[in-house]
Amino acid sequence: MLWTIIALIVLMFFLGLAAWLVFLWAAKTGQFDDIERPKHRMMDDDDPPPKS
Amino acid sequence: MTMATSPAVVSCDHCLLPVGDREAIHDERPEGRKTFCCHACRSIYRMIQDEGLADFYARRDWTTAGIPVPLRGEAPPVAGALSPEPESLLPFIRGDHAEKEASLLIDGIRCASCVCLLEKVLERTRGVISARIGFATHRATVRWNGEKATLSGIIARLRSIGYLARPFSAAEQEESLRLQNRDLLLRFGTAAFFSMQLMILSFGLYAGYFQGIDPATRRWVEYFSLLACTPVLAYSGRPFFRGAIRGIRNGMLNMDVLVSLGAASAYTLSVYQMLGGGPVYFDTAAMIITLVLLGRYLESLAKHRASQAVHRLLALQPREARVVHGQDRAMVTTSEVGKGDLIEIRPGETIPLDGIVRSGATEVDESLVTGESRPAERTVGAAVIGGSMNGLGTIMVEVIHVGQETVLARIADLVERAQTAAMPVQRLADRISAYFVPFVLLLSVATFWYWHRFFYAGPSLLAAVSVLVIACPCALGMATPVAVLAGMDAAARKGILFKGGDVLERMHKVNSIVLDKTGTLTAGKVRVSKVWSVAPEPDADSVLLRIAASAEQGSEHLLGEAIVAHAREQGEVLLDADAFKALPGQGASALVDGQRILVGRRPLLEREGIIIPAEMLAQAERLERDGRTVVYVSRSKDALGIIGLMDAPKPDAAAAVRRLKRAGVTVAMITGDNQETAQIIGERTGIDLVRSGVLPEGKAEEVLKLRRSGRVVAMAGDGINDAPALAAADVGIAMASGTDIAMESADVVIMRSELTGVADALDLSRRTFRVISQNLFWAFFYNLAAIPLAMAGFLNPIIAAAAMAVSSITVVLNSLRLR
Repeated sequence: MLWTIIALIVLMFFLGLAAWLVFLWAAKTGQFDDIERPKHRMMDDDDPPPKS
Repeated sequence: MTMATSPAVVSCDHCLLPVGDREAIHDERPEGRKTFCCHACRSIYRMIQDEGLADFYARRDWTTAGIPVPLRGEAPPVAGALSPEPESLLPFIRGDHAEKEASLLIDGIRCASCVCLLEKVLERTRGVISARIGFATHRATVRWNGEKATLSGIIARLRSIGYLARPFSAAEQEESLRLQNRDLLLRFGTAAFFSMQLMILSFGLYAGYFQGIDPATRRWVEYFSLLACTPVLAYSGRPFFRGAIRGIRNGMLNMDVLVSLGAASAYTLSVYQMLGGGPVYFDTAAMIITLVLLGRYLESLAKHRASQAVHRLLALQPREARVVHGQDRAMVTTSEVGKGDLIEIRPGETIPLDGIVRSGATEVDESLVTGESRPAERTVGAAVIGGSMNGLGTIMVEVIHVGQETVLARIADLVERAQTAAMPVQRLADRISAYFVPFVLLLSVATFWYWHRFFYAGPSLLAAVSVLVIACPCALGMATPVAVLAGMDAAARKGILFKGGDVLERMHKVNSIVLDKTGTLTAGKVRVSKVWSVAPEPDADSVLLRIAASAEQGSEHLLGEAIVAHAREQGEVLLDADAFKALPGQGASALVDGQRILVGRRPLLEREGIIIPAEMLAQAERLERDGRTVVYVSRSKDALGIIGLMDAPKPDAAAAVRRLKRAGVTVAMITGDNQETAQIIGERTGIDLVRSGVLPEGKAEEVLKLRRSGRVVAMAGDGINDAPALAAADVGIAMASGTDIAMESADVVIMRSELTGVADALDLSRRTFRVISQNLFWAFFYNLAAIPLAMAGFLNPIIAAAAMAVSSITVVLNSLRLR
């Protein structure tokens, strides 16, 4: 019983850890840097989006 | 520009740099064969010769190659050791000590040779690691060693060779904001993920308290709790601990101290309890940090969003304009369009720059700038704003503003400055912490003493630490940002722009509002209702109007504009005027047909020694009794006549004044007009305090007088003549329809020209501050309520968690009421 609980906790812990790593990757590669701009981009004129 | 490798070495005739004969560039000039190290130098040389500046080479005192001598020395221009960076430059510098980086905007770059020169200068400057300059953008990215150079030194060096460099703020802010945002997001995200895990574990523990739990299981769950809690404190909480140490060193008990104290004591207590078998509070420790971080992240996000809104605003401005040269039309980038150029705007196009319509008529949609969605009619003589949408007419527009002067650019600048202004709310929380922290410490010590004195040592320390844990209000960090965010959001939706968080704070204390009459209280559209001339001839009225309008052509004053507009409507052809001079509060003078024309108030004419006939005075008096503003007109030494202008109060003025009065604010009106006119407007709008015949300097004086009597004064106005008064008031409110200077000196800008905006602004600032104080109260309340339990030694994790959760939820929900 105890070991089942511990196993479940560890499993949960690693699942959370995986989600956290995905989040770290996303934040570090700038996925959340600009959450406003993309939805307006389709309204822009033909100019290519700024590179930076 | 490499050093010569062949023995034949010549020096460049422009920059004197040694250059190999084979690599040199030769140019046959009338004055002889010249040698250059690079094409840039050759083109500069040609330019200098072509401009007839040849003696530059004779007179310059460079004798060595390249960069002028004083710039090449090892010692920086500032004597002695490296002086510390001035505080104003610090926000622009990125990177660590060994390698710092900053962006500079450089004035004076003309050609590629400048860029080449600047890069060389910078790279030879001691301590500079690299310098990149964009020719098109005039932006330099400089990286240097913080131990060998300073940014101020680099700027001074650039100045010594004639280039003005300043830190590039927009990009800089954007960049640092972005990095700060990302850092916060990482810390908050990490804290949130681990706190979630912790919560799940804690729920197991809570259930255990009620239903009983196998000690071995509890032990394991507690181990995992410790594992999940540690990164939250060690990584996410680091800024708080750092801030707390800084605060204590400066002798200040700020919010960081409170947060660190709470989190750290909860953590240590839990570790101690875990070993001893007591209840643990890991979730409390983690949640304190997570929630305060959430508050900071929200604040940072709001700033970021505002700056992006600005960039979008600027992006909407077209990059090209159709410039008219006689019959030709040419598309030119807006940066090359000069003031006074005529541009053509076709139906459906976006107006590229601010200007005045010179021919054609149309309707424009200015909703982007003013928020007013109804299209506005624009005919000859009317102003159009860059960025607004042209309707169905083709118009020719004379450009009056370019670059940073345009309304759009100024709004962007305004918003940017508003973001950088420090929020007062942080100070408020710090002020409260300054009392709260010592209070809690005192309670904690008292608890320890009491338990130690009357009971025994073991639980006494436990009880004392429990007090610290439960007292930390984690909702405190969100109490103010969330409310200010909601408040500013609601304000923006109503077209009210606060220039900073501190303005919100000052605004809510306002108990007197001074309104300027013209343009603020009244419709801002004064119309000529009567023209009366001394001369009996039938066309004398039309002559009078033509002369007055010609003289007033350059006027920005409402009365002047009304006269000009009226004359145009009457089909008068205006004459050219020279030497236009606006005399604030008095009128204007100009030369028309070589004769001096005065248009203005009675004292203006009288001071010039112009005799005003009694008949004219009687007529003027009659008009003034009707509530008209009377303008006197004279040509050289003769009084010509008067023009009566009607200036009706805005339709919403009376309602707005009523609202302000109901809010307990004293409403006063100041105007340069005479008493009768002022009185009538005052009566119609319900203002009882009327000051008339006040000169512009007098307006500021009146405002100061009110302030000296202990009142907090807001001044609302929109003219040039209101600017000093706007600056003198505690809060200056400008109508966006007003002059640029007024908007510049104001703290609040109301984007629609309705007086209810003033009432709305006051209302919102008061509500926001009420919500903030409520938030602060609730943030502390639940925790304070739990302190007695902690002192009595009854604290259990459920109470700690409940106090925290309830206070946070209360704060967020309470703030959302502002929307």
